[in-house]
Amino acid sequence: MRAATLGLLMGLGGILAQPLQAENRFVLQSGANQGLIAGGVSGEYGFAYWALTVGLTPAAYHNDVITQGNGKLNFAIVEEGHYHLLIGGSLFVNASDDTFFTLPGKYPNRYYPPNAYFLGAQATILAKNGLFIEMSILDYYMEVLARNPRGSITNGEVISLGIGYIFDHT
Amino acid sequence: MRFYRFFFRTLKFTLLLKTLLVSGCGGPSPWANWLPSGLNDLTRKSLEDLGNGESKSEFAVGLIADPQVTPGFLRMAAQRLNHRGDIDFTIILGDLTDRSLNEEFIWVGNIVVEAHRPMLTIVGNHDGLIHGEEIYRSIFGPLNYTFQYGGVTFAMWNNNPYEWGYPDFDWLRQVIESHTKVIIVAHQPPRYIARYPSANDELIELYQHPHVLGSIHGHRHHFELQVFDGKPAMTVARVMDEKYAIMFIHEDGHLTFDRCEGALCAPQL
Repeated sequence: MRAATLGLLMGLGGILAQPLQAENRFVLQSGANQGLIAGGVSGEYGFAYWALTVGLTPAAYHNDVITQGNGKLNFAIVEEGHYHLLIGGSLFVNASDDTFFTLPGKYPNRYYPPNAYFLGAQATILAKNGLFIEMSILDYYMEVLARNPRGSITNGEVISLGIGYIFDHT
Repeated sequence: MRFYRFFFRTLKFTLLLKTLLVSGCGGPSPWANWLPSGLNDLTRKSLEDLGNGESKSEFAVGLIADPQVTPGFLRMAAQRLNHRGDIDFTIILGDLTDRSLNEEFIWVGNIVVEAHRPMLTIVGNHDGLIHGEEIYRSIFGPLNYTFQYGGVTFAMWNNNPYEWGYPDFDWLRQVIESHTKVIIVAHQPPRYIARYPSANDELIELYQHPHVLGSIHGHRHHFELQVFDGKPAMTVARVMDEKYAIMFIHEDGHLTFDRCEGALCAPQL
């Protein structure tokens, strides 16, 4: 199942990358909800930056590895010297045996929300040399922030910080 | 002019960088299940801090339920109970998390560690998804366990059937048989255990046993007091809006409850 998902994601990445071949670059990232180590393709159209990656995170249990697919779309909103500030959204998908997109039949209707995917929002500082740092928050954690009194949850409890590099970025 | 531009550009970048660094660093993936060092075995540590309350003939226990999605309210309720001088310990009645994510367990674990008085937990159905069981066991400890305080035995019992199958009644019966004053602590209250109707009948029968003083629960998200064979089965509302309850264990073994919201508490009738 996991291998099939991985193949599907890479195939999808390849198809999407075809029309963007001139802009194609390799991106490597750690954290920001994309996995301990995530690699894939990245490109840009004017103000828009996209990336499709596969993320791997060693699991603490069962000697397993958590494999996830990530899609990211960012927009440059500020350019300051050698840096771009980007904001955008992400989709994180983990199609393992432990997760589900639709509720398994044994549960009553709407017993749990799907846990095989999350949406995210991120802010990224991208240097002209391709190095970037990113902070990402899941849609569910935004709900947590909204439903709790201000100040009772710190940013550090909901934000995932990451660092990455876009190869051959100019 | 150039100096000012340079100064403001540097200042803006520094502030952005500071925001990024200070805002912390959650797990690298939503499904990651690594734990911070030191956040483990909290049940055992809380029980060591609690002692056995040998000298206590009457005592009070804070009850908090279903902090899923609202760990901020859990933190506030825990702080409020900390500031009361009459609470011996607090029990979180399951559904510590909504999605069984590592970060959610860490939020609750940190609140347990921060508490001035011991906090104990049981699992809820929402804690048994993905790697929830492994994470719960690592941070807190076993799913079924007992402890004694002030001569009363608390049977901390996992009764979430969708996630762990038919509840282990043999274990619960054995605890009841071997102790004279038992309070059953389980996430799902009698009459509302999901999946297996017979599990409700089996639990309700146990109130007839002379060793059982009553039971406490969460899961339903509102306050409800049921009575079986003259003994209370108290369901505590979810901690949203800082709702919690206090259980008073009296010398003769009977239980009474206050239901609270913020600083205001009133007897549960």
